[in-house]
Order: sequence, then C-alpha cells, then structure tokens
Amino acid sequence: MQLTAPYSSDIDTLASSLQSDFLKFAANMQMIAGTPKGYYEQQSSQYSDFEARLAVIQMRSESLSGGVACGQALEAAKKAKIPVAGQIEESVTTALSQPDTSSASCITILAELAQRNMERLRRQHELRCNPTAKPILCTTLFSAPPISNILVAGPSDAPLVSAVAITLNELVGAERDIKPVSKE
Amino acid sequence: MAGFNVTDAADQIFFALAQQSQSSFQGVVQDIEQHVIPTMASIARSLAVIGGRLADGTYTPEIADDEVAAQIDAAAAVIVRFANRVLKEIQDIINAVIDAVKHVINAAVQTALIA
Repeated sequence: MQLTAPYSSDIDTLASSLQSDFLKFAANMQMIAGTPKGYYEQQSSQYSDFEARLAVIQMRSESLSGGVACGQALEAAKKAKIPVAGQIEESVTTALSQPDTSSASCITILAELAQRNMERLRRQHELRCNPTAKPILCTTLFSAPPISNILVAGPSDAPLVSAVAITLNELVGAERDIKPVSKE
Repeated sequence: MAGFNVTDAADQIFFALAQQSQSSFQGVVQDIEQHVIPTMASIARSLAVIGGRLADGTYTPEIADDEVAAQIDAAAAVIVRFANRVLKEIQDIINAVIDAVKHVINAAVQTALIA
C-alpha cells in the first residue's frame, strides 16, 4: 500500500544538489554582502538557476502518481486535534490552493513553499543590495560567516536565508524519509 | 490444507503490528525531539530578530512583512514534512500487517496464494 508519493531518486539528487549550491551561494554572499560584488545585478543569474531547478523538482513531483494528497493528511491531523497554528495552516492552504495542487503530494507542496521563499529572497536581494540602498540592509540579509550559524537552532541573524535553508532542508529530508530501506 | 489456528494467526499478525508500530512511532518521537522542535526554535529566534530590527528602524515594515511571511512558510514546510513522515510510518505499519496476513494465509494453504 502506498500512502506517500513514490520515492524518486531523481528528485532526491536534484534537491540535494540545489541545497548544496544554495548553501555555497549563501556562504559566498556572507563574504561579499555590502560590497559591489554582492549587488543583486551581479548575482541575479543565481536566482534564475535556483528557481528553474525548483520548478523542475515541482514538475517531476507532479508527474508521479500514487499516494494520498498531502492536504488530506493535514486535514486528518486537524481532525485528530493536532495543533497547527492558524497562520501556518493558512500558509499550507495557500500553497495547496495553487492551481492543480489541491491533490498534490507533500513533496510538491514543499517544492512550492521553497519556490515562494526563494522568490522572497530574490526580491529582498534586489531591494536591499544595490548602489542606492544602505549597506546594512544587505549585510543584515546575509549576516556574517560562518554559514553554519543560519542552519542550526541558535543564532540566526539572517532570517530570510535561514527560512530558505529550512524549506530546502525539509524538501530534501522529506524525499529521504520516503526512500525505501535497502534490503541488503 | 494445514490446520489453521485463529489464535496463532492473530498473534502473528498482532506481533507484526506491534513491532512495526513501536519502531515507527519511536522514529516519529525522535524526529519531533531532534528535528521539529529545534527547527521551530530556530524560526522563533528568527522572528525575534526581525522584530528587533523593525523596532530599531533597520527594517521597514515591508521588509519585516516579507521576512515574517518567509518564516511562516518555513514553519509550514516543517509541518508538511512531518505529515509526510507520519504518512510513511502509517504506510509501513499497514504494509507490515499486510505482509503478516499474507504469510499466515500462505502458510495455512501451503502455497503462495497471495503474492
């Protein structure tokens, strides 16, 4: 019996490599934020690359059949009175309300959430890292090294980068969670 | 056909159910402790940072709104992954029971009646 989306090694590989490339990008941005090299116009191609790769992951996930809709699982959690805070529920509902996502798998929803956060980072980078913006706006977007500070529970002075890293990590983790256990 | 003992069969199926449930829910509890709670704590910390920057004038309300929305989506991602994980554990339990039933019936009829 299949309740989750089927595991896809393709999505696993794509998501892992995207996560790794994003962290390299964020670590580099920590070094150059506030300097001309960190301006959005110098870095915009990175976002097209990340967003295109997330779109591929979402399309691959949508093409997989099997499993129950993620929304049904979340609905069941609500009925079981597992607390899901209002705004978080709204966020999931918004992700689910996109065209053709009402029957989406959890992996598809996670790809959608990751795209939304990536787009927010792109927009903020454009707004805050340019010759006319105050440099502090750019440095607070990416914070100071080391990159590990934005990934672990603890000091996270780059909230938006941290949010993108979390959504990507959940996407990678969710695909790994459904990976069949090797019977060697 | 070999003798079919309902009590033995039920015991075997129950054993499979109990064993898989224990291992699945141990994993879920561990996931809550080691992943869900620390990640939510990290998101809470980020929200506090955003609030501080809004209060000291570093952020405009528009920047703060965008960053808060990102935290909410990050929290939603944690919940969605957790739902996916619970689905997988329920799937494993159901499949363990199906396997046990299959084994019991095939043993009783002494042929691979259910593949």
